[in-house]
Amino acid sequence: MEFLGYKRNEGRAGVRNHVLILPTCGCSSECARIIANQVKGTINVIINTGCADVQANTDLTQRVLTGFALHPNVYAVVIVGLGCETVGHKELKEKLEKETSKPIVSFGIQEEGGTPKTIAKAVTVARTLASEASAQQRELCPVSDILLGLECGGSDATSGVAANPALGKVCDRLVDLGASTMLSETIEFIGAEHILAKRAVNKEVHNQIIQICRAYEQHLANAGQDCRAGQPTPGNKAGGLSTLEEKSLGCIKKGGTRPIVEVLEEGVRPTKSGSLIMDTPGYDVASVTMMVAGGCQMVGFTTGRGTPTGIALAPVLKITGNRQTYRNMEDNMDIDVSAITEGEATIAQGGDIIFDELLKVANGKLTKAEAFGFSDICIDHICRFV
Amino acid sequence: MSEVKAIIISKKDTVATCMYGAEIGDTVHCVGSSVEKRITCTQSIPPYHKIAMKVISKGEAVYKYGEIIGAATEDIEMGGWVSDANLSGLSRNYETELL
Repeated sequence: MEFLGYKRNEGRAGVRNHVLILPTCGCSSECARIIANQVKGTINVIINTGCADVQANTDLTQRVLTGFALHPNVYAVVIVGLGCETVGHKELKEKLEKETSKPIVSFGIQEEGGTPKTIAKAVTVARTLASEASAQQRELCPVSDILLGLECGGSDATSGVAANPALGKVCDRLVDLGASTMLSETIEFIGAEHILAKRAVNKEVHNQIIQICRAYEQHLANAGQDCRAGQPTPGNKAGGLSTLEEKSLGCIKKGGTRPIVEVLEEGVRPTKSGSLIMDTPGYDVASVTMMVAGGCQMVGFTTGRGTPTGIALAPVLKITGNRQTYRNMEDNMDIDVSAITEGEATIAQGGDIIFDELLKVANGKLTKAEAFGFSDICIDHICRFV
Repeated sequence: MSEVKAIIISKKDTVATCMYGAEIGDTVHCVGSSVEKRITCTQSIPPYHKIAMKVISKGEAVYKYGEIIGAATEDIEMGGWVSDANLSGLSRNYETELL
């Protein structure tokens, strides 16, 4: 099976061909936004970190910046730095050029003499790159190139009985075709981690699944915090999910049933193909950010209560098993599988609906979040800024 | 009084998920996993919330998906509403789960 994608010199094919305007830190993020606003075919992200951080936080930010720049959906990158951040634009560019042959251009606001001069130069370069990107044709690429991120947000009791199991069917089908899927949100494994661990390909992966749950709880406990204070969220509880265990048991259904071959730190690119796990927070925006940094070209996102969120780099498909939510928020929902909840369709039939739409989106169909131009990101943090 | 459908996910489950809101006196028709039960609703239950399919004592484990989703913090009657008000999560013992 194939899809129409953009072939890359390195790694997997892309499902989009964006020119990314990439700030190195918070101080150049607005400048990057203004550049992207002036050039069709470009996208930008707001980076709220990149300076005054401990090493562990700097590592996470750099993982996201390099992961975004190297992303299969990105044709070229225009880096916009300030000049006094932790990792400057030249250093980032040099690091990237060792790993990719895609065009990378960089500017520093202090060197250029302020934002108007930086914007003027960057807009000219970005326009040329966007023009080049638009000339690249989609080509037939094997479905095995797909790395699908899995996410749920605004879950309710329909998520675990309809949207998540249906997305799980999609995962099994993709993995059987040689593609990869990435389950995330470690907090939402807690209470169901023993079931995930049974799917581990070997003892090492089994123990890694247990250990990321233990480490997450311990990390929060070290700061005097309890993960159960924020999970389930008030919205989850109102939607019929009473405990973290109940939420987790529904959450893991979206990962399917195939053997889990690798457990990744957040934002890290996989080394194996198949059913993968990434150790991310339960906060959906942060989890999607880290999975996309790890190279996911698309995200299957289930929601019972409805959410508009989207990341500029990758299509995020919103899937709901709650008919009222689909009708209420149709402008933000991509796929309705409420027929499962209502007893009118099987989980397998729901999976087929999602799979067909996923292929259309891989071939270029815009998701609702893409059509609105949404660019939500959030970089996870180990501790306070310094 | 009307009949409200509820889903049983696993045979081991002691709660079912109501597909619509149920009112006191309604018959809740719980089906799934080759199990079928008719239970009289004893509390007003919102859509997609859980109904107790048996008497659940304080401290007793509550099952959904065939797994423990927490323990009751008070006695819950059959047909009662199971929610975050009377159900609490349990801490994990990761050490015993490692191979």
